[in-house]
Amino acid sequence: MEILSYELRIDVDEKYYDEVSSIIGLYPDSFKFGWSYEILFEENKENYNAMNKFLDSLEGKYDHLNELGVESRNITIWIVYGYNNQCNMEFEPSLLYRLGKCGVKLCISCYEAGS
Amino acid sequence: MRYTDPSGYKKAPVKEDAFIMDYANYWNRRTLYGGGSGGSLNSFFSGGSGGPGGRNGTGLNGAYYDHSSSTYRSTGTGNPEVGWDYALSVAQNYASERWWRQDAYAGSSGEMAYKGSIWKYSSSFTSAENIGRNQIGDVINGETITGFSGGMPLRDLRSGEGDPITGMPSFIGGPLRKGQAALKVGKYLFNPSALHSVKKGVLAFTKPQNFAHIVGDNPDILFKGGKVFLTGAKTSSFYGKSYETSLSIIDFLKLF
Repeated sequence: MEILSYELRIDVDEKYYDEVSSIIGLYPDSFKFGWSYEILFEENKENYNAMNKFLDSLEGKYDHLNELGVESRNITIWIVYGYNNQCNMEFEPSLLYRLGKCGVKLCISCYEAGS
Repeated sequence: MRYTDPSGYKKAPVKEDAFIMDYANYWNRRTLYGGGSGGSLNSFFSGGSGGPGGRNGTGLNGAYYDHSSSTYRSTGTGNPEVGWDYALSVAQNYASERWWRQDAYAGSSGEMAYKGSIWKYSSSFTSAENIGRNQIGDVINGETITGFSGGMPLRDLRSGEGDPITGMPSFIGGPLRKGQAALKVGKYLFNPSALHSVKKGVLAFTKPQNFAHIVGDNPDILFKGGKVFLTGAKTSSFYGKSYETSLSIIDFLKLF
């Protein structure tokens, strides 16, 4: 059973969690593991480019976030991929360019999820 | 990790390599057989003088995981491969026992009889008799470990070296799915799905601002000396560097 999730994680002081959420317009279900917003890929549903969504949400908000002590190095986008059999990925240059321009790091963790 | 650049550049392996997540074969076949077959002199039961180790024979209703072939096998004659369902039922049988069923050769001298495939790694016990006297819910540094979710079999954790004591190693974080391989960190086998979920907790607890500049944002986890360390991922510029977290292995296991 493959599991693919995209996460936006922001390393920020706990007292600013709510403020960060309202600035970028993404509201995590839980703050158990810090500020982390997760989008789960579901095969049979209409999907959108989660990474672009994250970058869209962040765009123009960096100054606000900076006021809370959040710099671009505190922002990471994660792909956590529980794959079955094969683990192939492909990224558009435009997306990578966007990431680089924002100074946001892309972290990828893969594991064999089995069937 | 060793790789060679066509230009001739070689990245030297770091010492921690041996501990980083991998699928290495930790237990060799002979060791695994110690609990249930063959009467191996190298079995863990053979450590105690006069102990039952040398008398290990084919077992009844036991199962273990053979790392060398990545299969579950019976402790019965010939050690035939068995299915996951069977192996799991064996583990669950042991997990529900009130006493650590060191039934491999439990009982007083004249009545010692082999009843299962229990084996253990810890050198703190050298005879089946000793183990049979210990109650489930072991104590580690004053903390009682009463069990874990996911049908995990009993483990000897008192030395911080938790290894399974039933005839098969358990997977922390619950049983594996078909086709799924366990992730190995140090001496521990993890259900990779659960490990990745817990890793998120470890990173959040340790706070990226403390370690990201040393080992990067997505480091590997390793255990060393009872402590949890983070090490730079092989694909990152932080490879070869490590960061000691304030988590002990016990803290880590509690996150599951």
